[in-house]
Amino acid sequence: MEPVFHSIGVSRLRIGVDGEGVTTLAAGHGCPLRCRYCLNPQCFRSTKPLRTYTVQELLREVSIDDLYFQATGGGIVFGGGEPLLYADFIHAFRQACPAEWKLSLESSLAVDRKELVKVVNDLDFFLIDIKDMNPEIYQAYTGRDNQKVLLNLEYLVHAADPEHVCIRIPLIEGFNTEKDQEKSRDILRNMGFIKFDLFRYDTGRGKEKYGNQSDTGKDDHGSQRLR
Amino acid sequence: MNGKDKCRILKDIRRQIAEHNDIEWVVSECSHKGNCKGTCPKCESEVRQLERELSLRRKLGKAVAITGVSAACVAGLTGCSLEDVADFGQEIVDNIRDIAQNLKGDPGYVDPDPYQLEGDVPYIVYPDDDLSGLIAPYEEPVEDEIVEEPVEVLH
Repeated sequence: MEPVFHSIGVSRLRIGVDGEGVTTLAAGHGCPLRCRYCLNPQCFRSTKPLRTYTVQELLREVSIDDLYFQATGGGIVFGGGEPLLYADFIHAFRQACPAEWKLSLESSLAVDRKELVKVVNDLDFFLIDIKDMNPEIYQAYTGRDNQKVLLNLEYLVHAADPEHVCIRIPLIEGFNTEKDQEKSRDILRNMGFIKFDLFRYDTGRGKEKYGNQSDTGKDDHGSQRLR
Repeated sequence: MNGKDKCRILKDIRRQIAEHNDIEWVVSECSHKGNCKGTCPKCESEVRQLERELSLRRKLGKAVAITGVSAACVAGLTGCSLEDVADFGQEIVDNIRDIAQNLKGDPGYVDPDPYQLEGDVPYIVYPDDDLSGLIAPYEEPVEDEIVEEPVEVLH
């Protein structure tokens, strides 16, 4: 059966936010995590994706910016949601798209390793959002444990060129501290990763999309905040 | 980076591609007011025009240079160089809001996205959306269900 991509949006002409060059972000629907301040909560709150693409359909749509991709070393960034839910699609897309395009992945790695294995050789760059390496902080923020993430990190550091992997470590208000960020970086450095992006996560942006919590009458995730 | 900056960068890229391929590139000044995401009809038509010129060069057997000609244009603007997204974003938001305040109501005004964050896509709410935390049908099955616990307020 032909793989399809259930999308929550395709965002064109992105510069300086999703890796190098001019990029188009194709965001996938669905995610195994329930992050407290998810940037794209529509990936699990909406009952249906915005649009479903076949490989050829997505290729046709994003090819409009082929000139920019080639000129700047950019291409397609698969995000979401969790793009590794569409590993088969990404693999098929790689076979179909121009070889000059760079394909990147923005992922939390919170999936079975077999999904990552399917695409590790198809991707030029990995942007990994690790949340925090502390399992308690991770559980509190995402509502899930980080066992799959750890297994995938161990695989990725050997399967991919660490120069092409950037681990993003957010400072999340109410969940971790700068010391936690640095601890996470130290752990990842010992694993063999060399590129990091420590940043303060804009929880306000996620809150904007969530709307007023009082409308729903309850906290959506039941996630626990640490003292 | 606001829409005008993005538009200027994309214009530069088009100009560089034209220069690298000896294409005479004379474009008229854009009269669009307000911020632009680089997808307005004028920008799109310039890209199509450039593509036609490059295609013509290929048909005439001439070399065409595209790959990497404008990499320097966007080098150094990667997200990994942003140390403090919140402060950076707020400055952009304030800047855009000032511009928006003066331009709203102008014909052709495009309401700009305050700022782009990595992985951020516009949120479209469907009329029949259940906003009470419905789990999407496309996720992997979860082995352990979350047990709701009271949220502790940090002091």
